[in-house]
Formats: sequence, structure tokens, C-alpha cells
Amino acid sequence: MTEGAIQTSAGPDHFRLLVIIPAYNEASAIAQTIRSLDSLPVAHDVLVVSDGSTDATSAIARQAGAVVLDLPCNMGVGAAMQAGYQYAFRHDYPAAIQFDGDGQHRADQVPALLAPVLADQADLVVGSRALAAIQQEDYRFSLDRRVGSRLLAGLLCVLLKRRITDPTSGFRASNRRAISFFSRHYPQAWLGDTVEAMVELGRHGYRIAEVPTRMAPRQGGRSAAGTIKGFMHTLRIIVAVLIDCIERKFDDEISRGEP
Amino acid sequence: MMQSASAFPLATWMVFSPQGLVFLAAALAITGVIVELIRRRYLRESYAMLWLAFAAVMIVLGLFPSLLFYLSDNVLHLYYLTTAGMICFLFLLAIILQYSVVLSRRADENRHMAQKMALLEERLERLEDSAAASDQKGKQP
Repeated sequence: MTEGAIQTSAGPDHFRLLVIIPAYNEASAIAQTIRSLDSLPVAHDVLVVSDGSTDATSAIARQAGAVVLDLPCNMGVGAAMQAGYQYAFRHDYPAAIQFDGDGQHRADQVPALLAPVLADQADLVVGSRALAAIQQEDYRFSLDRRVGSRLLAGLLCVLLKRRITDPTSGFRASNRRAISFFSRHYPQAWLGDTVEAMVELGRHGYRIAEVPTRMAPRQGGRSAAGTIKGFMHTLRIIVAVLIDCIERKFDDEISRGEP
Repeated sequence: MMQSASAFPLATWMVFSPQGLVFLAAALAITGVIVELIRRRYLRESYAMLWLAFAAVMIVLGLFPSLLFYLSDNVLHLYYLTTAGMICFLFLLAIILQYSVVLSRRADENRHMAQKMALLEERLERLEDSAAASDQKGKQP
């Protein structure tokens, strides 16, 4: 990982990264998350999308120097992410990173995540815990998550015709094309949005890549806990993905001829 | 067709039983409620269509009960109450399906509006800040 200089075709002066943090009642962790991004070796802005938070998330994020989008009510992480991508598109960011507000994602992993986007090798880069798990001892999937993740990964491998190891990872980088796509179409299913986003991009001919990523262990917060609940959750995502596959492709994508 | 029409004149199609009269009264009452809701603008045309079609079928079957018997015996080979229930069920299914479609669209529209609102709010705050900043700059020298 090359710390410091990041080379882009546009030159470092013109390149500006947007870090999108969807947050729902993350007042306790959001300031620390935003501060952890100060160490990024690339010019960037931080955008916190508060998904109808009822605590001080927005105020704290604003105080910590982030731009804040305040959704008027809780609409799900998909709606929040899409609002973030709409902001990125409107303000002409060449790349955007999706970053969790709960301290699970690590700023020092961003350069590796960004590299394939900067080299124009992929439109979407996903940070995979599974790819890094071989070297890493501090992150372990629970059994049901491992089984669910495997199932989804297998399904995605078949649908996208490429190897996917960590479909539920929310640590991802998008280039301008993917930002444009997500600003118009972002899947809205509860918690399955990461998986569906890959399927939708893949179906419309975008390039997806995975890089190994280390993550901090999750500090509480919402997680599909329990084996049966986890399994139902996986099943739900599988059905949502299958529904995606029978949906007609988006007309504006066809008329644009993108990518 | 002509033959069957002459073999079953209109009057024979309109043989009323007490149950048939109750059915007709119910159909008319439902129609009355729907029409009144439309008249008061509580029910919009696009949603009223299926309800009106439902009411129309109920009235036709109420006026011509033999139509229901004919349909049951000769076309569907079902007990006439089953036929009536099936017609009701199909209508309700269609109406619920319409609601699901409308609801999905509404959810999308709501989301778009919420996102747009958040983006505009951020822009407004930025503009207000820069306006306040330039105000102060103008006053200071």
C-alpha cells in the first residue's frame, strides 16, 4: 500500500474523493469515524447522510467538519446511500467511498480500495473481509453469517460470472460511472442493498473488482444476529436478487450506452 | 344466439328470489357508497374504476340472477355461490394488486422527495453561510 502520493490521470490537484457515511443514530461513534478519515493521504470531503436520526448525529457530524444530508425520516440505508451518490454526482466527484459510521471500516484501508478505481480497472471496488481473512485473526464471521455469505457469494458468482467473496461488505469505492448509476438507481431492500447493488451494476455491464480489506470488529449496533434470523435474512436477499434478475433493465442505461 | 335469446326471454332471466333481492339491495347499497365517495372527492377516478366495475357486475348479477345460474351450470360447472364468491374474490385480488403497485410507486416518490429535500437543505445552509460571511465582510472595512 503506497501511503502518501496517489496518482490519478487528472493529477492530484484536481482529484477529490467523497467519503459517504450513512448514519442512523450513530452519535456515539460518528465523530471518531470522521476524525479517523483525517489521515487519508488523498484530498477528500466527508459526507454524512443521516437517515432520519433522532439523536445528535447530524449536529455532531457537522461540528466534526462533515457535510451533512438530513433525510426527513428513516428510509433505510439504501435511500441514504443513494442520497449520498446524488450529492457526489451533483458536485462532480470523480470517485466516492462508502464508509460505515460505526467504526467498522478503517481509513488506512482506503488507498488499497481506491487503487483499482484510480487505475480505471473497475467501476466498483468492494473491500472483501474474506480475501483478507487468511492473514487476519481479529475478524471472524459467525457461523450463520459465514454460511449466508457463502450462499450469496455463490449466487453472485453465477450471476456475475466472476469470483465474489464478500457480497455483504459495505466498504466500497465507486468511480464516476458507478456514482452516476447509483444516483439514479440504488436498490432499496432492507440490508440487502450491498448485494443487490453489485447485481444491478453487473447486469448493466459495469466492472466490479474485489480487494482484500481488514476491518475492525463490529462494536454492537444492528446486525442480523441469531442463526434463524440470519438465515431468513439471507433468504430474503436471495429472493430480492432473483427479483432483480427478472426486472427489465433500466431504459436510461440502454439509451446512454454506458459504460 | 337468436334462438337462445328467444328461448330465454328477458323476463325469465329476471326471476327474483328473496335471496336475489337481498343481493340486489346489497349491490345497490355498495354502488351508492362508491358513487357518494366519488362525488365527495374521497375516491379518485383512477382508484374508483375497479370499484365501479365491481359494483356494475354486482348490479347486473342482482338484476339477472339467472345469468349467474347459467354461468355456473353451463360455463364454469360450479355451484352458483362458488361462482359469486369467485367473482368477488377476483375483484378484491385485482384491487389489492392495484394498491400494491400504487404503494410501490408512492414509496419511490417519497424517497425521491426526501432525498431531494435533504440535498436542497444542505445547499440552502451553504448559501446562508456564505451570504452571512459576505455580509460580515461587507460591514467590517
